[in-house]
Amino acid sequence: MNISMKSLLVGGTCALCFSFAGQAQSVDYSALQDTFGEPVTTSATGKPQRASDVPADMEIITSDEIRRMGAHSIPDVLQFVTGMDVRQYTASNSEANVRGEIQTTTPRLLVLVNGRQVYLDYYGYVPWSSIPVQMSEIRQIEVVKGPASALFGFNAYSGVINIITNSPLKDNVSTVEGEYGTQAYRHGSAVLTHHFFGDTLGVKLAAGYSKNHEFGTGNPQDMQRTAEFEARWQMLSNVEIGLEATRAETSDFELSSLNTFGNIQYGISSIKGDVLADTSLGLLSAEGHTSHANIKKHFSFGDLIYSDNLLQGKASDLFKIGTDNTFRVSVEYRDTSNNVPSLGLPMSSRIGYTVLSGSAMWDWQISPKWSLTNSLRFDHLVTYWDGQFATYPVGLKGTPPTLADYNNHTIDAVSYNSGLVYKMSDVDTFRLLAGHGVQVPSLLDLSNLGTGATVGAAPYSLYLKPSYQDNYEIGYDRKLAEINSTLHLAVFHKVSTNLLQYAKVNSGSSIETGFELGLKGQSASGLRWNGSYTYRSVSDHVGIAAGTGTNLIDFQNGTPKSKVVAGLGYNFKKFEIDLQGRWQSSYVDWYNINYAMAVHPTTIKAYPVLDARVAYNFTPGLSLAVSGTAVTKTQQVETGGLPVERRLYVTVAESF
Amino acid sequence: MKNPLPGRRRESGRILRSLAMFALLGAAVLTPAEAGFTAKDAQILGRVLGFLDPAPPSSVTLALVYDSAASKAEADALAGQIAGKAGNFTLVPKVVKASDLGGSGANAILLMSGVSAGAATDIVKTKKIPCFTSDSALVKNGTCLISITTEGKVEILVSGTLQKASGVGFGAAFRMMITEV
Repeated sequence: MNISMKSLLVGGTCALCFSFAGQAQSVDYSALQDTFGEPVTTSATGKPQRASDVPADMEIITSDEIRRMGAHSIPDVLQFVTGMDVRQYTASNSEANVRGEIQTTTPRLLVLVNGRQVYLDYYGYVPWSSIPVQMSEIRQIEVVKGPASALFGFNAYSGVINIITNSPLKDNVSTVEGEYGTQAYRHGSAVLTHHFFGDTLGVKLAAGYSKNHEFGTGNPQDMQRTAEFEARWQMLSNVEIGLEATRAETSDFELSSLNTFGNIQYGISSIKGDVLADTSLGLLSAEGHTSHANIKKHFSFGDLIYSDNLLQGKASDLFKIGTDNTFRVSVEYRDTSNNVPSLGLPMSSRIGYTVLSGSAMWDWQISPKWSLTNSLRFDHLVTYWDGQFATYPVGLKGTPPTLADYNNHTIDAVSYNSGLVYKMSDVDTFRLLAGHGVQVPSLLDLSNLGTGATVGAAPYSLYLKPSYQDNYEIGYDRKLAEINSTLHLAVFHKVSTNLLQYAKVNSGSSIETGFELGLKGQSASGLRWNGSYTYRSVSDHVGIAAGTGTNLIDFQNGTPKSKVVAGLGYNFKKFEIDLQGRWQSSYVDWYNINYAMAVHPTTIKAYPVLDARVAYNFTPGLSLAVSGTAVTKTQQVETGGLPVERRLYVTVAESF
Repeated sequence: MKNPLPGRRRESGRILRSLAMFALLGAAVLTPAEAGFTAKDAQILGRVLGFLDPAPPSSVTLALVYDSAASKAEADALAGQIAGKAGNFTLVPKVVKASDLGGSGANAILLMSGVSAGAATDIVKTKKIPCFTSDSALVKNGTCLISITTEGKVEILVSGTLQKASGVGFGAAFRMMITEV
């Protein structure tokens, strides 16, 4: 792993600086879920909460639901989540975002694995196939809809996906899985967990390998291999220490930010250390994390090699004052940098920024029925340039920035979240939510030294402003005991301003209003169902016409107006049978002819997707499953990328 | 570029109508009534024991406290249902008259319906053991430590006053998720 000594020292020091003795234990998802009878999350406010209590619009997809979907990737799961937009451009490349505003290399969604970011700062996007997680080790996927920058910082702009895996200390779960499928799909994975020293030390080793032919080409272009090590040690009765290291190597066929096809190779390593201590001062946590990504992009017009580095340190205290007030205060430091290959500079030339952040959350239980949660965060960003500097071309608005400017430019941003929750009865919950999220220009945005199809009146890219999203929402949940179901309704209105796109300008604003209505339940007889309808209306107010130069912002036409999700499942003796489908109305995507630096709109007609899975459980741990994705047609056009093909799988899985 | 998807309009009227419809639907169902302690509640009791600080022994003698013929009948019936595994603990139910609670050797107390909490309150304070009930009023007035109801949704109420007086504590994560009064 290419991790610098400086990174290790800072991360390790940060992780250990709070390692004093405490009095209780950290969040035990299993025990809390078993106690309260529903999933537990910390993704809404930073404090552990039941899914039904959070002051946020959140959906939690459990491990059982993921298994029954027959999902082979995180986007496979997200496509069936109400309010999520997913575009599968190739077999290995999908983009996802909450409530529209989706494009290739989408930079508006924060994706975390156990709280550790897995998006890449250089574009601000998520290489989904390179997330070092086996599907079989996921405890739950938490989807926060709407901005959550006040808790998570930049990129938590449209929403947050937090992938929670089984803890090696709290969940002693091991799995082995093998799969064989069409398109020459082969997959094998193993997750082995073992406890030592009387269950005070839990160690997990996981590895996975898969490969398949790309849609329509028959070429074995897609390969993913990942490995993880995670150890958690209950050092004292109430102090827990964690260490995690991951490595992912993938070869994908992807669409670039300009919808240009290319072979992309990722090599991503990360290491994280954390300490949790329950003291008289509250639940203290400290975390140090560093990651390094090498990305090789092979396009017809040439190769680009990126080197993305991240060093991050966080510390927080979660405490309760009296019986009704919970507070969380936290500080965060991050240093992220990337080289600038588009300018032909050597790898040692790097643009980066450091961010110092402080945030606070106050959760006030006004009465048993009413609660009010407010979060506020301040980020202070300073850019820097290391190594050789390129001369800035003149001709744009203002004076061309110098090297000194690059080493002295700051961005300050404030974000907030506020949520009022009213539990009208045991079965009725209302939510009134407001959020203000921040997206900073990516490293590539900032380093684009006026090159490309920039509009003449635009300022230099260093002076791009952050984009902001304001979201206002009314939510209502109702438990329908008569049919053992939960009804969910959300009505939202969001305004995104200073939109950032690879046109190196703040393009304008976009307004989206809509609602989501869903029902989910199950019967004692083994029948389960889910269904939802999403409607939204989007209007863009941008200064540059979509499709001009590199501006691909066309959320007005690029967001399907309607989406329907429906699922049905049944357990019959040792069989588990599930169908999961979605339908979405037409929208406009982009395609790129002959790898040119110009894109063209294409209307994608409304289409349905149906996934199916039948499994036979020989024992509670051993199962054989046959599943299929997009089973209704051999192939269909879903995006401006490759037509999506029907895929079939046979899976043998053993958990113990 | 010309808009390839013409005819987009605001649909706020439709949204508001939908919201009003479901709000009316929500108001139509009554809140379920509280019931006595059930075997399902006892399973949750076992889980709650795991969050106590200090943690009780793995085998917990649970005093089922009665003070009338009706409450004794309830205790006898419940004892037969809840003995055994609950969470990481083994519950050993013991039917105990309220006046005999001091010498029962219990690790935890469970009050049957209508039982006065006076004796239990003293035991909680002096022996630092938890008191459970299904009657949230006893928690609200500070005479019993924890109420558990599982009808509809699991609700756990903890007396902040009695918690402070007894020194019986909980893990921070658990404390964040319960209602303290």
